[in-house]
Amino acid sequence: MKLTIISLCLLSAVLNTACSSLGVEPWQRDLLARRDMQPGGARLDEAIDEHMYFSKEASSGGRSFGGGGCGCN
Amino acid sequence: MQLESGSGSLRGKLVAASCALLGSTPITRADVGDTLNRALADWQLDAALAYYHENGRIRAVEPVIEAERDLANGGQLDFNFTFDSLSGSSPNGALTNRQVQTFASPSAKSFAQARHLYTVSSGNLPVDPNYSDARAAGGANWTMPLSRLMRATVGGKFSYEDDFYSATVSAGLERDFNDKNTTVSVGVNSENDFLQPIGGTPNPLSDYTLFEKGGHEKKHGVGILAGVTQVMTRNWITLANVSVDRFSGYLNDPYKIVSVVAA
Amino acid sequence: MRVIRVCLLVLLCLEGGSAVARDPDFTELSSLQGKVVYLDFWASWCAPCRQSFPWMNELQKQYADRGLVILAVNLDQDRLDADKFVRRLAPAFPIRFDPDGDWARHFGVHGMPTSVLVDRTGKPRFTHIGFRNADAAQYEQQIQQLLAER
Repeated sequence: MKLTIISLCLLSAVLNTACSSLGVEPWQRDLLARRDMQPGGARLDEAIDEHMYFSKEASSGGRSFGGGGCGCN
Repeated sequence: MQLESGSGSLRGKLVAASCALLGSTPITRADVGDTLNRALADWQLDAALAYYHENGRIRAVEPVIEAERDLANGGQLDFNFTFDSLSGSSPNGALTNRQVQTFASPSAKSFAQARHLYTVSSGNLPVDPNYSDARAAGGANWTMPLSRLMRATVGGKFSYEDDFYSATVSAGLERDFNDKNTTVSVGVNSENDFLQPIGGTPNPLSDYTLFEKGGHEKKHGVGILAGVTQVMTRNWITLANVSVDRFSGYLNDPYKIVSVVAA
Repeated sequence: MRVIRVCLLVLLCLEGGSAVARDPDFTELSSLQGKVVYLDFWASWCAPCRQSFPWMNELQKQYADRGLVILAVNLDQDRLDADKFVRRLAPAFPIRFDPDGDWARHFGVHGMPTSVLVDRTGKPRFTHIGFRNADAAQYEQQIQQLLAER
């Protein structure tokens, strides 16, 4: 019952706000421009993590690429 | 070009002559340092060292270095290089047994010719205590803007060990929507691995003590990746991606032993 | 019951309140009629802006006496970040602060940085999104063109 209410709330929130109104104006990306807020920001750490994950799980993936950032130029 | 004999060192004259040919002024030692500084100034270097240790098992030391450069047209070039060094004990796959078990080093062609043998006493998990491996790996990526909202990436990486090497090429495309609040990315990659176990690849399911070994093996994989990044608020971004990879060929680990246990 | 309250709270937060938009005050721009205005929208966290400021200083030196006015509109949310940037890059042109983004919205800023060239009659003629040193020559040509118009 609880789970249904929570998921209905989240769903309606997403549908009401709609994907095109999610987001920020181009000049509001100050925090997103920070290196630690960018998907490719910690590349070396991710590379090491991915290597260890691959050695243990014999598979890899799910790592991010693209998007976010300051959106400049 | 005439070489005059007499005053001055021959070497100095040769340098001056070659510089004149190249149309530049002779470079002094201070200039070389300056040029090097200016050349390196366009690059961003990043380095890390990973130290991994499992109690009584594998220890890995892995330095990584990365060099990144922003290009004038808005693109980016980056290179990375890793050196991996593993050592320690690694289970060889065989099961614990009441009897004492003796194993040879993975590259051995017979017990007599093995570089080292190791014995596992009753009730202990068979573990190769001399496991050691060194790997060198590197990669490069080139991102180029196709338009203000679209970018393409091509990249490649390789990995080299004395008994295994791998080469991967990849390509990707990225497009922004909604004033760069939404980014959709797609990518493909192709990987080719070549296995050359020292001493040969053991014939699958053959008797360990007979050391029946064959030649080299390879495997090939293709993968696709699709992702969406969405900026939610000023301090929240969400990423979702799906990747599907398909491998074919020799998917085994050539050094692992399988125990056949009679019921 | 608590779950429902939490969910309603989350809903309210997401649908959010948008600030009441005031009519932006553009009297400063209208007072500059007769001059060619290079309106540059920048922020301290925008890397290409660091390249554009020295170039704009050059423009100021060269064309100010021919009627070019450079107005750099800062869109930082935190004024201190903007001040630090200004101290480091020493612009010779005036800076205006627009943290609410009213001017940015009016002029249709769709990327950072954005520059808008306004001609002597006050009409925006050229808009450029992004800044690259390679494109600077083309912008200069457009400025010369607008300065030539009487």
